Amino acid sequence: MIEPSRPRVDDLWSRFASDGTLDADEERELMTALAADETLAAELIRDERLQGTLSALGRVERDGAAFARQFTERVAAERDVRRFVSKVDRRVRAELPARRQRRVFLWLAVPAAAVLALAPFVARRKPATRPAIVSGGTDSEARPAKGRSTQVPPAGAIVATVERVQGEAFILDRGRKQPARTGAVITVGQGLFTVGRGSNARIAFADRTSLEVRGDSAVGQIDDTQAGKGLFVARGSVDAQVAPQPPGRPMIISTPHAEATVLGTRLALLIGQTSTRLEVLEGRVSFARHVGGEPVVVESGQYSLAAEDKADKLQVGSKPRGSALLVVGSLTLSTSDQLLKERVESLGFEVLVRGGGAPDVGELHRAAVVLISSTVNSVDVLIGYRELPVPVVVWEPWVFDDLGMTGAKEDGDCDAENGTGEAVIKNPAHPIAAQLSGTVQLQSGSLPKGKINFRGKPMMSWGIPGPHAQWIATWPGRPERAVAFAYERGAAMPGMPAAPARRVGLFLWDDTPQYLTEAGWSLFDAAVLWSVEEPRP
Amino acid sequence: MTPVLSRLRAALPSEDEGRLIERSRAGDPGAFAELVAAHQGRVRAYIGGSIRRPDVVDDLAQEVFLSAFRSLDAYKGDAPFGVWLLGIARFKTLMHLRDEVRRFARESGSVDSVLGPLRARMIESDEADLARRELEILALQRCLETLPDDGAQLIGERYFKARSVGEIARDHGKREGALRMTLLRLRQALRDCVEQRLTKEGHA
Repeated sequence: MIEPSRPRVDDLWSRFASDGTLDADEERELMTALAADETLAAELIRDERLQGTLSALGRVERDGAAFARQFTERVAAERDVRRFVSKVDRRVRAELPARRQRRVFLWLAVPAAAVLALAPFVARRKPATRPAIVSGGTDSEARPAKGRSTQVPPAGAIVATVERVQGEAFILDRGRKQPARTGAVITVGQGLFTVGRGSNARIAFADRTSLEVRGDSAVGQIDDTQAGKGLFVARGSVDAQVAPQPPGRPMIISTPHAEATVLGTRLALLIGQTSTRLEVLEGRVSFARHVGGEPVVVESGQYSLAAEDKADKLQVGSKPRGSALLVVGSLTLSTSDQLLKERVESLGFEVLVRGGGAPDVGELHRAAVVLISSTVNSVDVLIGYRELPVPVVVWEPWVFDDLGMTGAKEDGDCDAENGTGEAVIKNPAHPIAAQLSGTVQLQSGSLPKGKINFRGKPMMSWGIPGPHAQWIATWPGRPERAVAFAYERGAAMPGMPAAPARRVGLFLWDDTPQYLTEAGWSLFDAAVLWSVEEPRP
Repeated sequence: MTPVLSRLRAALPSEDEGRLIERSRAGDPGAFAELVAAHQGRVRAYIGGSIRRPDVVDDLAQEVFLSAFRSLDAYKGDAPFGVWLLGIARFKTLMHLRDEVRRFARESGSVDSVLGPLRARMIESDEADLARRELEILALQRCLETLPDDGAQLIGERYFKARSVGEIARDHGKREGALRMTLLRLRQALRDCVEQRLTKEGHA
């Protein structure tokens, strides 16, 4: 290939550096120039460095406070887990048999009276050989239940071996951590702790039962006694492949919200701040909340979710609704993005979290729905989303126009502003209205100053959609501003002749989910579910 | 309109920084959060200079601060705290770039497969003088202030308001290609300015 002229190189480079959009021939042309001239390559690398520096400094100006807050939240979460494991370890070492009941006490912080009232129910449904369940919150109150084995293996007994480690993983023992290495042994009562989204560790018990712990996850109190295997998953994501267990000695996996009793199966657990999601890949699992409600049986291909804010009977879903691709500003999720992720999971989706930038096109097209959070930088979702024949729900107002859903004038056709947290339902019959009507409070009207903004007033995204949009809710006193609107597939939009699939624009803002009312969550749920109802082309 | 780099300018007096480091060592995450607020501009800018994806840049920056917080006892004060942080950032960036180089090697035919090794080499060469790299980032602030108003406005809109080239071009009634070239020239001018400033201050 002929080496391109310098003006041509500048043109190619300026396009590559600005949005990376070169076709294959142009990319080859630029590569030829770079390969032929080291000085040129060095110069362009310096330009790329300056551009990257400027972009990063710009983000610091825009989201510096959120970045610092994310750091604080991450450190706090890490400390909570370590404190928890330390506490549990101390109790296990004391060889007290009342573990599970006190987990309830520790994690759900229910009143002691409620736990006392619950003890007979819990004792009834446990196999006779499991460790005793007692009431109370202090060691001195612990007592074995009638007819229960109190045998706890000696400290130091080996229960499992670390088979594989990637990234950062630690074995926790009495609040102290040591790096987990392949071949290391886990003794009774120890825990396992992985840090960072790329980290994972796999451990195996003697009967080849194995656990895979991924991301920011913490598992404590791993044991394998005459009563059966047990462990506590404090947070994160765990996949388990459980070999058939002896009769009457099921493996019991507890989380802060629920307990799974496993006889032999493959399952996946996802433990968020407010819920535990169980998905059974093979076999059957009995799944129950710690407090209240009967256990349900979750079978192969089914899932169930135990959420802190729901006291109704556990529901079993027939199968996941597919994957929801959540596009966020930072993969270290903000509290709000984490809440949204858990909410979408509670609707039965497998949520894949992705940052802005060049998307994996195949992954985008396989998704049941794409959710674009307001935490994303609008320029990072310019490529790949506009023509996407997959439903999109978006609450970043400066993406409304990029997707063609509103006019192209930012601050005029789409924006986010302080409001009261209220909205006026324009079309109560629409499924997204979630049976709401009149003026509804979607988020708290008064917020701690500095949380959402310095004025202590909620921010809401809005847009001015086209005539073929379905208007669900508007800004109070500003009927031309839609805070919830949608397009059917094929409907004309201001920026596109036909919507490639359903599109929904919502009122949410960066920190809104922390302050959503029940009505706000209902509207969000309804929007996500409506978006995926249509048959895919 | 000159872009305002308030967080980059928010350098702490060394006494305050020393006190915050001591409080962080004693286990006060709030104190370390103040250090994060003061130093995130340099760290994110340093990593951003070599990695294109903003989500990866910010993830790595979080990892840098977490590593620093966990290993604060290892900081002996031999170098300024900011330079120590850049050392951690350099290591993490280099590890990421080496992974990228391996990945790009399997995808020959992309510009990144050519640029990847050059990016890694540039970060490797930073080892000798991280303090200079920090000064470059600070000099950039001064140079932004010297841009003519229309240039500063373009830089501000593109990088500080994160607007696309297409949007800016529409608003300014220019062609996208012309605007991209203007931005390229402005970046060249900024690079020259940074070099001149460092030479003048004896850091060439």
